[in-house]
Amino acid sequence: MRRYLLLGMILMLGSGMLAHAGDYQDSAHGNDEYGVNRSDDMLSVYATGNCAHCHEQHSSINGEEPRPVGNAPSGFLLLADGFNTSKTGSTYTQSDNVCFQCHASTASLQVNGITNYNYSKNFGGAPITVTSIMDAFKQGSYHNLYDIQRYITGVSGTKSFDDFPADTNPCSGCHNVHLARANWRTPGDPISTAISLPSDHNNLWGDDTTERMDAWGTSAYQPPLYGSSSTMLEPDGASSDRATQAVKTPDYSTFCIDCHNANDDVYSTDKGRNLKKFNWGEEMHGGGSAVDWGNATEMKSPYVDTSLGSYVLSCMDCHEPHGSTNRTLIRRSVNTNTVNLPPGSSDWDQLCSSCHIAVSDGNTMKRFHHKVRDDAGYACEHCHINGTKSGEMVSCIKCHYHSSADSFFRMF
Amino acid sequence: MPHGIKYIYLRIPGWVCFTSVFVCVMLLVTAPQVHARVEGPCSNCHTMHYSQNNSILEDWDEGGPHQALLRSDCIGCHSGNNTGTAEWDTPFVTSLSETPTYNTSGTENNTTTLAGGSFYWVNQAANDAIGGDAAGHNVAGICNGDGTLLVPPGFDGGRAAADGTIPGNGVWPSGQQATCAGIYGCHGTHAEAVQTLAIHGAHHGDLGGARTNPGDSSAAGYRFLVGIEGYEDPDWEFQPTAGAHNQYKGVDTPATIHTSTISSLCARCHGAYHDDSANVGTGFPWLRHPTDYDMGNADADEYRNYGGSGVNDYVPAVPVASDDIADTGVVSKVAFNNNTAIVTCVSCHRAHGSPYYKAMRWDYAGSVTGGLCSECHSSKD
Repeated sequence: MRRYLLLGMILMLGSGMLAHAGDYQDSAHGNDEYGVNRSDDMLSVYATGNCAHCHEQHSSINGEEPRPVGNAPSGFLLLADGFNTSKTGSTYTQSDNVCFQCHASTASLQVNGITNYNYSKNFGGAPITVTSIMDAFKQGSYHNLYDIQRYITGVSGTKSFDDFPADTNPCSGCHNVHLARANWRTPGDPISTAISLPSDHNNLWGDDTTERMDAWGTSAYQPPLYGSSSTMLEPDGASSDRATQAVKTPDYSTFCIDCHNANDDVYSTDKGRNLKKFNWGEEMHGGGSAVDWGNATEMKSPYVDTSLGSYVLSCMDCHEPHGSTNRTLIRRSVNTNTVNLPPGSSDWDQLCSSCHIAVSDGNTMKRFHHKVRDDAGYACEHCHINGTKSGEMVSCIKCHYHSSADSFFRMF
Repeated sequence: MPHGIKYIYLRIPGWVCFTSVFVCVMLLVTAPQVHARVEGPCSNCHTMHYSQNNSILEDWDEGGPHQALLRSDCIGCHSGNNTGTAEWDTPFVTSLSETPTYNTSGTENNTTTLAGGSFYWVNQAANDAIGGDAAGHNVAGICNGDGTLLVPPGFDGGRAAADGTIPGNGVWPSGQQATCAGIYGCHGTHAEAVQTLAIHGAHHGDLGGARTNPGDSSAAGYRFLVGIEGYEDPDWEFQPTAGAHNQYKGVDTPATIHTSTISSLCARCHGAYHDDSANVGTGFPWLRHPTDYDMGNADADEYRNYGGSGVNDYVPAVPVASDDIADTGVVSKVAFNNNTAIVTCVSCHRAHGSPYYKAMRWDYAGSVTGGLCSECHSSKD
């Protein structure tokens, strides 16, 4: 009896010592080493990660308002107002978005500041272009936070969400701040994901094995090349093996489709219209099946022609999530290729040639497009500017864009 | 026998004496052990001349004579070690020697503090987020004034109690310490500067149990708090449980001033943190942490895990108030549709003090997750 009692006590003690850190403590904000830690003497007694660094229960500590002083309490008990709803463009300042109070390259309220690179750097090994999230949003193209807030709170658009009451901060559309993990610290570990589906705000997306890019099918996802390597793959450059690397990337496509899909209207203030709808399940970069014509090599490494028809890309293979100096949030580095495509530019071949044989490879591209002419009845001037044989070619984007389709072909 | 004084002798039949004594004895042995009004010999608390054999007795406080012929002042009587034994009959709100046992939340099985916590730690040197000025109210006679807060934070001219009196008459002089009772105190009326007058009649008149018609007298108010309703735990929440605790009065109207709730007591001095849309907001998203707000109104499911998902036991460490105070018992399980899950100031703070920063009931500042905040904010653990 005494032995069993002792065993029971040991088991009880053991189970108690295996304390489970809750979701918040696993998050970036809640980490006890690098979590939230507001730079203000009034907050020096609060542990790193403590609620008080973001939330002021009474908007007062020791009778005064901690930094930043707004002379009035803010919604959600936040340290500053959540979002400036009059800021319809990208000339953001720290006071426009409470998240920017810390996620800024200068004057960050976080002790020792925070450095956040863009996706291409963190997960593509590309050169540094920005060092803060606020700076990422202040580039030539960006996710318009005004539009996002209106969309997720139901003021605009056609999709309704359950978890975003009025005045919700727009960053919350993609990130649950109490769950989001510091993915950039371990780029090869998708469990450290930073995102939550807008339609499932209270769960992380990408941490479960069913929420990875390989969920689109066996061998569907081919990670791009990493950094300047000719063999190593995204998201961390740790391996050249597709299968090994493919499971490291959260299913960003399903994530983005939550808003950008074939059904829901998404209004763009900058464009003055709704964004084009598209069905990723049918597009050739998505769930649709591209065709290998077999007459010539059309894909660049690591993509191979023989796998054409099975590939599904991640949206992040081409796009930045926050902003870019390129138009349409196109990455500055795609599949190790530097892409310079600023707003207003139509030189889309800079992007497309990252994975496809370049237009400059006249023989290959000419043969592909002349086949289109023959099969679909296109005229010369559909591709040749001014219709001249040796004239400049129209931009790829004229035919190849999200939701583009021809009666014979799916163009994208 | 003094000259000139006429004495009248009464002959009382023996059977009357016996009957009277018998009845008194029966009353004493059958009466419930309710710690409410003070009982026992007058000399336990009073001294007629503050002199005995031409000197002061050892268990009288120096500095007398004291108000109301008392042997001591408030702290003289209310300092000590709470034991929970049968002989223990006075709530000790501070200790002058022995360190009270508080543990994590002041509700564990071996804690020796009571519902208000203890002023003990306010008198200790601050060590990071433990002890010091910020550990509780800096009450005159117990400790020195707060070196940082010269007026109550959030004092906006004071709010009136049920008897119409306002702390400081609406003005709080810089550096003025809070007192136990009176103009700058919590207990009794704010009309009196003399503390014993402020709570006049309360010690002898307190009936204990549910205070549902407090009127404007100290005796009728919950814990001598004028106008405040509530159920007084007979043991002052010595090691409380879900079924044995104070029951605080709350209302589910965060934007409206009431004078009967425990939160309204705090609002008298910390008014900027209470009431109306500019201070707190009227709903989600709040500007400041709401009080006198029932969690059943919140859309988020996380609050319904208070006391355990599907269990919802009352949590003495994170108490919630109710709008119905009954003498038939306390709320042992909260629901979210009957105003028994009302957030109050004392849901998070100890009225007197605790070891923790800002008199929090638990170590909020020292915890990554805010400690017991997750009892209500259950998804933020």
